[in-house]
Amino acid sequence: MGGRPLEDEELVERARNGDVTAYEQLVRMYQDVAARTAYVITGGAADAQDAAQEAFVKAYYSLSRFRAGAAFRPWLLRIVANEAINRRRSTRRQVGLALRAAEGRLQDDAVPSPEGAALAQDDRRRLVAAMNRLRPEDRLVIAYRYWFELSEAEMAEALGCARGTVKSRLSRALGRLREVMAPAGLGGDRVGLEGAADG
Amino acid sequence: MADRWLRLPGRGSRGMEPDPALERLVAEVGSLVDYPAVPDLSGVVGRRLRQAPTPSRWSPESLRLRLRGALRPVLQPVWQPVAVALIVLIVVLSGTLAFSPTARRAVAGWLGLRGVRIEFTPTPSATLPLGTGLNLGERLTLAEAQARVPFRIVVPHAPDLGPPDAVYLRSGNFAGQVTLLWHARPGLPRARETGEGLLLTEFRASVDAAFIKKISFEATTLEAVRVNGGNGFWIAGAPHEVSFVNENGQLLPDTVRLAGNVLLWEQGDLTVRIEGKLTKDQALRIARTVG
Repeated sequence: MGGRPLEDEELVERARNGDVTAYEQLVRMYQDVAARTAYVITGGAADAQDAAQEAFVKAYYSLSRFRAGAAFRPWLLRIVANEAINRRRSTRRQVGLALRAAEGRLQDDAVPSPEGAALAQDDRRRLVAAMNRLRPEDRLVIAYRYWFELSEAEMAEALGCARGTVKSRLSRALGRLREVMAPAGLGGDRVGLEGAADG
Repeated sequence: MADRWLRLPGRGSRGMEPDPALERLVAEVGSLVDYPAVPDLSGVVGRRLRQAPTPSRWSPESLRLRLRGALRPVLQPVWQPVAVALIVLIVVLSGTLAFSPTARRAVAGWLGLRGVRIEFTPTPSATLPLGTGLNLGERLTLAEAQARVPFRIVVPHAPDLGPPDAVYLRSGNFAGQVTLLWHARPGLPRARETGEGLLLTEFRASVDAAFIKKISFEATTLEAVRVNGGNGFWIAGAPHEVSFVNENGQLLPDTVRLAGNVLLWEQGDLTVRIEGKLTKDQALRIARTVG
Protein backbone atom coordinates (compact mmCIF):
# COMPACT_ATOMS: atom_id res chain seq x y z
CA MET A 1 0.00 0.00 0.00
CA GLY A 2 2.79 2.40 -0.61
CA GLY A 3 6.19 2.79 -2.08
CA ARG A 4 9.67 2.93 -0.76
CA PRO A 5 10.51 6.48 0.31
CA LEU A 6 13.24 6.84 -2.33
CA GLU A 7 10.90 5.80 -5.09
CA ASP A 8 8.25 8.17 -3.74
CA GLU A 9 10.69 11.02 -3.65
CA GLU A 10 11.71 10.54 -7.24
CA LEU A 11 8.13 10.24 -8.46
CA VAL A 12 7.06 13.30 -6.50
CA GLU A 13 9.94 15.27 -7.94
CA ARG A 14 9.03 14.22 -11.47
CA ALA A 15 5.35 14.99 -10.91
CA ARG A 16 6.25 18.36 -9.52
CA ASN A 17 7.97 19.08 -12.79
CA GLY A 18 4.83 18.27 -14.73
CA ASP A 19 5.27 14.54 -15.35
CA VAL A 20 1.68 13.30 -15.12
CA THR A 21 2.77 9.72 -15.84
CA ALA A 22 4.91 9.74 -12.71
CA TYR A 23 1.98 11.09 -10.76
CA GLU A 24 -0.28 8.37 -12.13
CA GLN A 25 2.14 5.87 -10.66
CA LEU A 26 1.84 7.56 -7.27
CA VAL A 27 -1.94 7.39 -7.64
CA ARG A 28 -1.75 3.65 -8.29
CA MET A 29 0.53 3.16 -5.30
CA TYR A 30 -1.61 5.08 -2.84
CA GLN A 31 -5.16 4.80 -4.15
CA ASP A 32 -6.03 1.90 -1.89
CA VAL A 33 -5.02 3.58 1.34
CA ALA A 34 -6.53 6.86 0.11
CA ALA A 35 -9.88 5.27 -0.71
CA ARG A 36 -9.90 3.30 2.54
CA THR A 37 -9.14 6.40 4.55
CA ALA A 38 -11.97 8.22 2.82
CA TYR A 39 -14.26 5.23 3.35
CA VAL A 40 -13.52 5.15 7.08
CA ILE A 41 -14.76 8.74 7.19
CA THR A 42 -17.68 8.74 4.78
CA GLY A 43 -18.87 5.14 5.08
CA GLY A 44 -20.10 5.35 1.48
CA ALA A 45 -18.29 3.74 -1.42
CA ALA A 46 -19.14 6.40 -4.00
CA ASP A 47 -18.30 9.28 -1.68
CA ALA A 48 -15.02 7.65 -0.74
CA GLN A 49 -14.04 7.14 -4.35
CA ASP A 50 -14.94 10.71 -5.26
CA ALA A 51 -13.07 12.09 -2.27
CA ALA A 52 -9.98 10.07 -3.16
CA GLN A 53 -10.08 11.17 -6.79
CA GLU A 54 -10.58 14.81 -5.85
CA ALA A 55 -7.82 14.62 -3.26
CA PHE A 56 -5.36 13.23 -5.80
CA VAL A 57 -6.11 16.11 -8.16
CA LYS A 58 -5.77 18.68 -5.39
CA ALA A 59 -2.61 17.08 -4.09
CA TYR A 60 -1.07 17.33 -7.54
CA TYR A 61 -1.66 21.04 -7.63
CA SER A 62 -0.30 21.40 -4.11
CA LEU A 63 2.95 19.57 -4.82
CA SER A 64 4.80 22.87 -4.86
CA ARG A 65 4.10 23.05 -1.14
CA PHE A 66 5.27 19.53 -0.45
CA ARG A 67 8.51 19.54 1.54
CA ALA A 68 11.23 17.69 -0.35
CA GLY A 69 12.23 14.59 1.59
CA ALA A 70 9.00 14.43 3.60
CA ALA A 71 6.84 11.32 3.54
CA PHE A 72 4.26 11.39 0.77
CA ARG A 73 1.66 9.06 2.28
CA PRO A 74 0.71 11.08 5.39
CA TRP A 75 0.83 14.31 3.41
CA LEU A 76 -1.59 12.85 0.89
CA LEU A 77 -3.83 11.34 3.56
CA ARG A 78 -4.29 14.71 5.16
CA ILE A 79 -5.72 16.04 1.90
CA VAL A 80 -7.85 12.92 1.47
CA ALA A 81 -9.25 13.17 4.98
CA ASN A 82 -10.14 16.84 4.55
CA GLU A 83 -11.91 16.09 1.31
CA ALA A 84 -13.79 13.17 2.84
CA ILE A 85 -14.81 15.11 5.95
CA ASN A 86 -16.15 17.94 3.79
CA ARG A 87 -18.17 15.49 1.74
CA ARG A 88 -19.49 13.78 4.80
CA ARG A 89 -20.64 17.09 6.24
CA SER A 90 -22.58 17.82 3.12
CA THR A 91 -24.13 14.43 2.46
CA ARG A 92 -24.68 13.15 6.01
CA ARG A 93 -24.97 9.59 4.86
CA GLN A 94 -24.95 6.76 7.30
CA VAL A 95 -21.65 5.18 8.07
CA GLY A 96 -21.50 1.59 7.03
CA LEU A 97 -18.25 -0.10 7.95
CA ALA A 98 -18.81 -3.84 8.09
CA LEU A 99 -16.87 -7.06 8.34
CA ARG A 100 -16.27 -9.12 5.25
CA ALA A 101 -18.77 -11.92 4.94
CA ALA A 102 -17.73 -15.46 5.86
CA GLU A 103 -14.69 -14.25 7.71
CA GLY A 104 -14.82 -16.69 10.59
CA ARG A 105 -11.30 -16.93 11.75
CA LEU A 106 -7.97 -15.31 11.56
CA GLN A 107 -5.02 -16.81 9.83
CA ASP A 108 -2.97 -17.11 12.97
CA ASP A 109 -5.58 -19.55 14.24
CA ALA A 110 -5.83 -18.03 17.68
CA VAL A 111 -9.35 -19.36 18.13
CA PRO A 112 -9.53 -22.22 20.59
CA SER A 113 -13.04 -23.63 20.12
CA PRO A 114 -16.30 -23.12 18.22
CA GLU A 115 -17.72 -21.20 21.18
CA GLY A 116 -14.58 -19.14 21.33
CA ALA A 117 -14.83 -18.46 17.61
CA ALA A 118 -18.44 -17.32 17.93
CA LEU A 119 -17.56 -15.04 20.82
CA ALA A 120 -14.61 -13.62 18.98
CA GLN A 121 -16.72 -12.93 15.91
CA ASP A 122 -19.37 -11.34 18.09
CA ASP A 123 -16.75 -9.05 19.63
CA ARG A 124 -15.59 -8.02 16.19
CA ARG A 125 -19.10 -7.20 15.06
CA ARG A 126 -19.69 -5.16 18.19
CA LEU A 127 -16.47 -3.33 17.66
CA VAL A 128 -17.35 -2.43 14.07
CA ALA A 129 -20.81 -1.30 15.15
CA ALA A 130 -19.19 0.87 17.82
CA MET A 131 -16.72 2.30 15.30
CA ASN A 132 -19.65 3.30 13.14
CA ARG A 133 -21.09 5.27 16.01
CA LEU A 134 -17.95 7.30 16.65
CA ARG A 135 -17.27 10.73 15.21
CA PRO A 136 -15.42 10.39 11.89
CA GLU A 137 -12.41 12.13 13.41
CA ASP A 138 -12.15 9.47 16.14
CA ARG A 139 -12.61 6.65 13.63
CA LEU A 140 -9.85 8.15 11.55
CA VAL A 141 -7.34 8.33 14.42
CA ILE A 142 -8.01 4.72 15.34
CA ALA A 143 -7.85 3.52 11.74
CA TYR A 144 -4.58 5.36 11.10
CA ARG A 145 -2.94 3.69 14.06
CA TYR A 146 -4.34 0.17 14.06
CA TRP A 147 -5.61 -0.42 10.54
CA PHE A 148 -3.21 1.48 8.31
CA GLU A 149 -0.37 1.24 10.82
CA LEU A 150 0.92 4.76 10.52
CA SER A 151 3.81 5.66 12.80
CA GLU A 152 3.39 8.38 15.37
CA ALA A 153 5.27 10.83 13.15
CA GLU A 154 3.12 9.92 10.15
CA MET A 155 -0.02 10.32 12.23
CA ALA A 156 1.08 13.76 13.35
CA GLU A 157 1.60 14.76 9.73
CA ALA A 158 -1.66 13.16 8.53
CA LEU A 159 -3.69 14.69 11.36
CA GLY A 160 -1.94 18.03 11.19
CA CYS A 161 -1.10 18.04 14.87
CA ALA A 162 1.99 17.95 17.06
CA ARG A 163 3.58 14.57 17.71
CA GLY A 164 2.88 14.93 21.39
CA THR A 165 -0.83 15.29 20.69
CA VAL A 166 -1.13 12.06 18.71
CA LYS A 167 -1.09 9.80 21.77
CA SER A 168 -3.71 11.76 23.66
CA ARG A 169 -6.00 11.97 20.63
CA LEU A 170 -5.66 8.25 20.12
CA SER A 171 -6.33 7.42 23.72
CA ARG A 172 -9.34 9.71 23.84
CA ALA A 173 -10.71 8.06 20.70
CA LEU A 174 -10.17 4.61 22.22
CA GLY A 175 -11.84 5.77 25.41
CA ARG A 176 -14.90 6.87 23.47
CA LEU A 177 -14.88 3.62 21.53
CA ARG A 178 -14.93 1.70 24.79
CA GLU A 179 -17.76 3.83 26.12
CA VAL A 180 -19.83 3.26 23.01
CA MET A 181 -19.26 -0.48 23.18
CA ALA A 182 -20.37 -0.82 26.76
CA PRO A 183 -21.39 2.23 28.76
CA ALA A 184 -20.79 1.89 32.50
CA GLY A 185 -23.51 0.02 34.30
CA LEU A 186 -25.03 -1.48 31.18
CA GLY A 187 -24.60 -4.89 29.69
CA GLY A 188 -23.18 -5.02 26.24
CA ASP A 189 -26.52 -5.92 24.73
CA ARG A 190 -27.92 -2.55 25.64
CA VAL A 191 -25.63 -0.91 23.17
CA GLY A 192 -26.99 -0.55 19.67
CA LEU A 193 -25.14 -3.24 17.82
CA GLU A 194 -26.77 -3.38 14.47
CA GLY A 195 -26.14 -0.86 11.80
CA ALA A 196 -24.95 2.66 12.10
CA ALA A 197 -26.63 5.10 14.38
CA ASP A 198 -24.37 7.89 13.31
CA GLY A 199 -26.14 10.54 11.27
CA MET B 1 -22.44 -12.81 25.82
CA ALA B 2 -24.01 -9.72 27.26
CA ASP B 3 -21.33 -9.33 29.87
CA ARG B 4 -18.41 -10.34 27.83
CA TRP B 5 -16.97 -6.87 27.66
CA LEU B 6 -17.23 -6.53 31.41
CA ARG B 7 -14.82 -9.42 31.75
CA LEU B 8 -12.22 -8.02 29.44
CA PRO B 9 -9.12 -6.78 31.19
CA GLY B 10 -8.96 -3.05 31.36
CA ARG B 11 -12.70 -2.58 31.25
CA GLY B 12 -13.79 -0.34 34.04
CA SER B 13 -11.00 2.14 33.79
CA ARG B 14 -12.80 5.25 32.70
CA GLY B 15 -10.19 7.21 30.93
CA MET B 16 -7.11 6.69 28.96
CA GLU B 17 -5.17 3.86 30.52
CA PRO B 18 -4.00 1.34 27.99
CA ASP B 19 -6.51 -1.36 27.21
CA PRO B 20 -4.53 -4.09 25.47
CA ALA B 21 -7.57 -6.29 24.86
CA LEU B 22 -9.43 -3.51 23.13
CA GLU B 23 -6.38 -2.51 21.12
CA ARG B 24 -5.81 -6.11 20.07
CA LEU B 25 -9.41 -6.42 18.96
CA VAL B 26 -9.26 -3.15 17.01
CA ALA B 27 -6.09 -4.24 15.25
CA GLU B 28 -7.56 -7.64 14.46
CA VAL B 29 -10.70 -6.15 12.95
CA GLY B 30 -8.58 -3.94 10.70
CA SER B 31 -7.78 -6.80 8.39
CA LEU B 32 -11.41 -7.93 8.29
CA VAL B 33 -13.14 -4.70 7.30
CA ASP B 34 -15.11 -5.01 4.10
CA TYR B 35 -13.76 -2.12 2.03
CA PRO B 36 -15.47 -1.43 -1.28
CA ALA B 37 -13.45 -2.33 -4.34
CA VAL B 38 -11.83 0.74 -5.83
CA PRO B 39 -11.37 1.00 -9.57
CA ASP B 40 -8.01 2.29 -10.72
CA LEU B 41 -8.15 6.06 -10.26
CA SER B 42 -4.91 6.82 -12.04
CA GLY B 43 -6.59 6.96 -15.45
CA VAL B 44 -9.23 9.48 -14.55
CA VAL B 45 -6.87 11.54 -12.39
CA GLY B 46 -4.28 11.57 -15.18
CA ARG B 47 -6.90 12.61 -17.73
CA ARG B 48 -8.08 15.45 -15.54
CA LEU B 49 -4.54 16.69 -15.04
CA ARG B 50 -3.66 16.46 -18.72
CA GLN B 51 -6.79 18.34 -19.73
CA ALA B 52 -6.00 21.11 -17.30
CA PRO B 53 -3.27 23.61 -18.05
CA THR B 54 0.35 23.06 -17.08
CA PRO B 55 1.00 22.34 -13.44
CA SER B 56 2.98 25.47 -12.86
CA ARG B 57 2.16 27.28 -9.70
CA TRP B 58 0.44 29.93 -11.79
CA SER B 59 -1.83 27.62 -13.71
CA PRO B 60 -5.49 28.66 -13.49
CA GLU B 61 -6.47 25.47 -11.72
CA SER B 62 -3.67 25.89 -9.26
CA LEU B 63 -4.52 29.52 -8.72
CA ARG B 64 -8.18 28.76 -8.36
CA LEU B 65 -7.43 26.14 -5.72
CA ARG B 66 -5.02 28.42 -3.94
CA LEU B 67 -7.39 31.33 -4.00
CA ARG B 68 -10.30 29.21 -2.96
CA GLY B 69 -8.25 27.74 -0.11
CA ALA B 70 -7.04 31.11 1.03
CA LEU B 71 -10.40 32.79 0.74
CA ARG B 72 -12.61 29.94 1.92
CA PRO B 73 -13.11 31.30 5.42
CA VAL B 74 -13.98 34.67 3.95
CA LEU B 75 -16.01 33.54 0.97
CA GLN B 76 -18.17 30.81 2.33
CA PRO B 77 -20.23 32.71 4.86
CA VAL B 78 -20.77 35.72 2.64
CA TRP B 79 -21.41 33.99 -0.64
CA GLN B 80 -25.14 33.79 -0.29
CA PRO B 81 -25.75 37.35 0.87
CA VAL B 82 -23.54 38.59 -1.94
CA ALA B 83 -25.53 36.72 -4.54
CA VAL B 84 -28.77 37.88 -3.03
CA ALA B 85 -27.52 41.45 -2.87
CA LEU B 86 -26.54 41.29 -6.50
CA ILE B 87 -29.96 40.09 -7.49
CA VAL B 88 -31.59 42.74 -5.38
CA LEU B 89 -29.35 45.36 -6.89
CA ILE B 90 -30.32 44.32 -10.38
CA VAL B 91 -33.97 44.37 -9.56
CA VAL B 92 -33.72 47.79 -7.96
CA LEU B 93 -31.85 49.15 -10.93
CA SER B 94 -34.36 47.70 -13.28
CA GLY B 95 -37.10 49.33 -11.30
CA THR B 96 -35.59 52.76 -11.69
CA LEU B 97 -35.30 52.22 -15.39
CA ALA B 98 -38.72 50.81 -15.85
CA PHE B 99 -39.64 53.14 -18.68
CA SER B 100 -36.72 52.33 -20.87
CA PRO B 101 -36.64 48.73 -21.99
CA THR B 102 -33.43 49.25 -23.89
CA ALA B 103 -31.58 50.67 -20.95
CA ARG B 104 -33.08 48.02 -18.82
CA ARG B 105 -31.70 45.30 -20.98
CA ALA B 106 -28.34 46.96 -20.81
CA VAL B 107 -28.14 46.84 -17.06
CA ALA B 108 -29.36 43.30 -16.88
CA GLY B 109 -26.43 41.59 -15.31
CA TRP B 110 -25.62 37.93 -15.13
CA LEU B 111 -24.87 35.37 -12.54
CA GLY B 112 -23.88 31.83 -12.96
CA LEU B 113 -22.10 28.68 -12.04
CA ARG B 114 -19.36 26.94 -13.98
CA GLY B 115 -20.65 26.42 -17.47
CA VAL B 116 -23.90 28.19 -16.78
CA ARG B 117 -24.69 31.77 -17.40
CA ILE B 118 -27.87 33.26 -16.05
CA GLU B 119 -29.05 36.38 -17.80
CA PHE B 120 -31.86 38.61 -16.77
CA THR B 121 -34.32 39.74 -19.38
CA PRO B 122 -37.20 42.12 -18.89
CA THR B 123 -39.93 39.86 -20.18
CA PRO B 124 -40.43 36.14 -20.36
CA SER B 125 -40.05 34.64 -23.79
CA ALA B 126 -43.55 33.56 -24.52
CA THR B 127 -43.08 32.68 -28.15
CA LEU B 128 -40.84 29.66 -27.78
CA PRO B 129 -42.35 26.27 -28.43
CA LEU B 130 -42.86 24.06 -25.45
CA GLY B 131 -41.53 20.54 -25.33
CA THR B 132 -39.35 20.84 -28.39
CA GLY B 133 -35.64 21.22 -28.74
CA LEU B 134 -34.88 18.97 -25.81
CA ASN B 135 -32.04 17.77 -27.95
CA LEU B 136 -30.46 15.62 -25.31
CA GLY B 137 -28.07 13.87 -27.67
CA GLU B 138 -27.46 10.23 -28.33
CA ARG B 139 -29.37 7.65 -26.38
CA LEU B 140 -27.07 5.18 -24.63
CA THR B 141 -27.00 2.94 -21.62
CA LEU B 142 -25.52 4.35 -18.45
CA ALA B 143 -22.46 2.14 -18.86
CA GLU B 144 -21.90 3.25 -22.46
CA ALA B 145 -22.21 6.88 -21.47
CA GLN B 146 -19.85 6.35 -18.56
CA ALA B 147 -17.25 4.86 -20.88
CA ARG B 148 -17.33 7.98 -23.02
CA VAL B 149 -17.06 10.77 -20.47
CA PRO B 150 -13.98 11.60 -18.40
CA PHE B 151 -15.91 12.06 -15.15
CA ARG B 152 -17.83 9.67 -12.98
CA ILE B 153 -21.52 10.05 -13.74
CA VAL B 154 -23.40 10.91 -10.56
CA VAL B 155 -26.93 9.59 -10.09
CA PRO B 156 -29.65 10.29 -7.53
CA HIS B 157 -30.08 7.56 -4.95
CA ALA B 158 -33.56 8.64 -3.88
CA PRO B 159 -35.32 5.32 -3.25
CA ASP B 160 -38.61 6.38 -4.80
CA LEU B 161 -36.94 7.49 -8.02
CA GLY B 162 -35.09 4.36 -9.07
CA PRO B 163 -32.79 4.13 -12.06
CA PRO B 164 -33.38 6.49 -15.00
CA ASP B 165 -35.67 5.41 -17.85
CA ALA B 166 -33.23 6.72 -20.43
CA VAL B 167 -29.69 8.07 -20.60
CA TYR B 168 -28.42 10.52 -23.21
CA LEU B 169 -25.00 11.85 -24.07
CA ARG B 170 -24.55 15.07 -25.89
CA SER B 171 -20.94 15.37 -26.96
CA GLY B 172 -19.21 18.29 -28.54
CA ASN B 173 -19.40 20.92 -25.86
CA PHE B 174 -17.01 20.39 -22.97
CA ALA B 175 -16.26 16.81 -22.23
CA GLY B 176 -19.76 15.57 -22.81
CA GLN B 177 -23.07 16.31 -21.21
CA VAL B 178 -25.03 13.46 -19.73
CA THR B 179 -28.77 13.60 -19.18
CA LEU B 180 -30.73 11.08 -17.17
CA LEU B 181 -34.44 11.03 -17.88
CA TRP B 182 -37.38 9.71 -15.88
CA HIS B 183 -40.76 9.53 -17.57
CA ALA B 184 -43.76 11.01 -15.84
CA ARG B 185 -45.60 8.57 -13.60
CA PRO B 186 -47.70 8.67 -10.46
CA GLY B 187 -45.76 10.72 -7.95
CA LEU B 188 -43.64 12.29 -10.69
CA PRO B 189 -45.87 14.67 -12.62
CA ARG B 190 -45.26 15.59 -16.24
CA ALA B 191 -43.53 18.94 -16.63
CA ARG B 192 -45.20 21.07 -19.28
CA GLU B 193 -41.89 22.31 -20.66
CA THR B 194 -40.22 18.96 -21.23
CA GLY B 195 -43.11 16.56 -21.46
CA GLU B 196 -41.20 14.34 -19.04
CA GLY B 197 -41.15 13.69 -15.33
CA LEU B 198 -37.59 14.57 -14.44
CA LEU B 199 -34.39 15.46 -16.23
CA LEU B 200 -31.00 15.41 -14.56
CA THR B 201 -28.22 16.90 -16.62
CA GLU B 202 -24.58 16.90 -15.61
CA PHE B 203 -21.39 18.04 -17.23
CA ARG B 204 -17.95 19.19 -16.38
CA ALA B 205 -17.45 22.72 -17.53
CA SER B 206 -14.42 24.88 -17.23
CA VAL B 207 -14.99 28.57 -17.20
CA ASP B 208 -16.84 29.59 -20.30
CA ALA B 209 -20.55 29.81 -20.08
CA ALA B 210 -22.07 27.33 -22.43
CA PHE B 211 -25.49 26.83 -21.01
CA ILE B 212 -27.45 30.03 -21.02
CA LYS B 213 -30.55 30.63 -19.00
CA LYS B 214 -32.56 33.76 -19.45
CA ILE B 215 -34.67 34.75 -16.57
CA SER B 216 -37.43 37.25 -16.45
CA PHE B 217 -37.21 39.85 -13.74
CA GLU B 218 -40.87 39.86 -13.05
CA ALA B 219 -42.05 36.32 -13.30
CA THR B 220 -39.23 34.01 -12.30
CA THR B 221 -37.52 33.76 -8.96
CA LEU B 222 -33.89 32.93 -8.45
CA GLU B 223 -32.68 31.78 -5.07
CA ALA B 224 -29.14 30.95 -3.98
CA VAL B 225 -28.94 27.54 -2.31
CA ARG B 226 -26.24 25.17 -1.07
CA VAL B 227 -26.42 21.59 -2.29
CA ASN B 228 -24.01 18.83 -1.24
CA GLY B 229 -21.44 21.41 -0.28
CA GLY B 230 -21.64 23.30 -3.56
CA ASN B 231 -23.20 26.57 -4.60
CA GLY B 232 -26.43 26.43 -6.47
CA PHE B 233 -29.55 28.21 -7.61
CA TRP B 234 -33.20 27.33 -7.43
CA ILE B 235 -35.06 28.85 -10.37
CA ALA B 236 -38.84 28.73 -10.24
CA GLY B 237 -41.97 30.45 -11.37
CA ALA B 238 -42.63 31.29 -14.98
CA PRO B 239 -40.76 29.15 -17.51
CA HIS B 240 -37.37 30.54 -18.45
CA GLU B 241 -35.48 30.33 -21.66
CA VAL B 242 -32.55 27.95 -21.86
CA SER B 243 -30.06 27.48 -24.66
CA PHE B 244 -26.56 26.31 -25.45
CA VAL B 245 -23.65 27.91 -27.16
CA ASN B 246 -20.92 26.02 -28.96
CA GLU B 247 -17.21 26.31 -28.29
CA ASN B 248 -17.08 29.52 -30.31
CA GLY B 249 -19.77 31.18 -28.30
CA GLN B 250 -22.41 30.90 -31.02
CA LEU B 251 -25.92 30.16 -29.98
CA LEU B 252 -27.20 26.80 -31.15
CA PRO B 253 -30.70 27.68 -32.34
CA ASP B 254 -32.04 24.15 -32.05
CA THR B 255 -31.36 24.13 -28.37
CA VAL B 256 -33.44 27.13 -27.39
CA ARG B 257 -36.39 26.06 -25.32
CA LEU B 258 -38.34 26.92 -22.24
CA ALA B 259 -37.55 25.29 -18.93
CA GLY B 260 -39.67 25.00 -15.82
CA ASN B 261 -38.50 24.77 -12.24
CA VAL B 262 -34.81 24.01 -12.11
CA LEU B 263 -32.29 23.31 -9.39
CA LEU B 264 -28.76 23.87 -10.51
CA TRP B 265 -25.60 23.33 -8.50
CA GLU B 266 -21.91 22.57 -8.53
CA GLN B 267 -20.93 19.20 -7.15
CA GLY B 268 -17.23 18.45 -7.12
CA ASP B 269 -16.07 19.44 -10.57
CA LEU B 270 -19.47 18.84 -12.12
CA THR B 271 -22.35 21.17 -12.71
CA VAL B 272 -25.62 19.36 -12.14
CA ARG B 273 -29.10 20.48 -13.04
CA ILE B 274 -32.46 18.89 -12.35
CA GLU B 275 -35.62 20.00 -14.03
CA GLY B 276 -39.18 18.93 -13.44
CA LYS B 277 -42.52 19.89 -12.01
CA LEU B 278 -41.07 19.91 -8.53
CA THR B 279 -41.26 22.09 -5.48
CA LYS B 280 -38.02 23.42 -4.08
CA ASP B 281 -38.14 20.90 -1.23
CA GLN B 282 -38.72 17.99 -3.59
CA ALA B 283 -35.87 19.11 -5.83
CA LEU B 284 -33.52 19.54 -2.87
CA ARG B 285 -34.49 16.16 -1.50
CA ILE B 286 -33.57 14.45 -4.77
CA ALA B 287 -30.44 16.57 -5.18
CA ARG B 288 -29.12 15.58 -1.78
CA THR B 289 -29.09 11.94 -2.79
CA VAL B 290 -27.02 12.62 -5.89
CA GLY B 291 -23.59 11.05 -5.65
